[in-house]
Amino acid sequence: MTHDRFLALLDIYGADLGRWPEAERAAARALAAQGSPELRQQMAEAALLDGLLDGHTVARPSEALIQQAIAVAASPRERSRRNWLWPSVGLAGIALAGSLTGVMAVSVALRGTAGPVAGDWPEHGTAFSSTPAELREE
Amino acid sequence: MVTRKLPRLLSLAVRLLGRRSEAEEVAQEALLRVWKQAASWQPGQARFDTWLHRVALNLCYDRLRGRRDDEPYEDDVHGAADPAPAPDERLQAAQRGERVAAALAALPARQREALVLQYYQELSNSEAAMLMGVSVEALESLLSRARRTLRAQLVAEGKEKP
Repeated sequence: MTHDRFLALLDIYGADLGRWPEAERAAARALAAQGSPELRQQMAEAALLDGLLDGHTVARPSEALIQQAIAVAASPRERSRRNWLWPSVGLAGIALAGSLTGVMAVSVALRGTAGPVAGDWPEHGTAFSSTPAELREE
Repeated sequence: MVTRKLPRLLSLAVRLLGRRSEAEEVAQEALLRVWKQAASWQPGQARFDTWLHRVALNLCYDRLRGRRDDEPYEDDVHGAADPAPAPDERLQAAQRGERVAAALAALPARQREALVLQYYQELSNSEAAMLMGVSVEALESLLSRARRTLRAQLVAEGKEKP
């Protein structure tokens, strides 16, 4: 890898070589290890920008939002009968969502006892009955 | 699946749409559509995660197309904020995050999209390029321009406001 190629990739992907295209990483690490002062300075500047970008975080979804998503997924027909905007869902809707969530949670928990890997898609049943095997790998 | 994918979809939508409430709707809708269409997914064509991003991106595009020009891009990007007074360090971190969010929002849409997909969503360059319908070279050009703009703006600001 040439010096110029390294700087071009640094400009594109930032200072974390783990984010670079896999085919370029080994050569980039070898060049970085040589410790050229210019490369070090450019990498430090790229790392500064990376650090700033990392400061832009997104708060995780609230538990209420997660439960809402599970409930809606468990009952798509229910979703179509009501307004999608969940802040407008009334107390009855929340109660229904809670019930569906409970049913789904129990279903997943029972299935999890038989599954080899936590977090895998269920093998059969519930809302995922038509899920292809490849989906479960993700 | 929801607990693993919803945060990822929400991050994508928040950074592209700039509005937390709208992003939450998009993230939920994307999950629902994926469930509905699971049987028709073609496993040989893309990773599931890439497919999920495709669905969410289309929903984001729809939202962005439907916006009026005079609507503000950003509101409450960080979502549920801690109502308690933040210590100085947290306050400064929040301010830095807001500066980045504003700089991101000011980028041309395609540059923002490239950066969000490749950097924040940590998709490979080929996945991000495929989702955007461009070549890897075009994606790299977008990324390079985005980072230069952000560096000029944010690093300069950082030096002015230590």
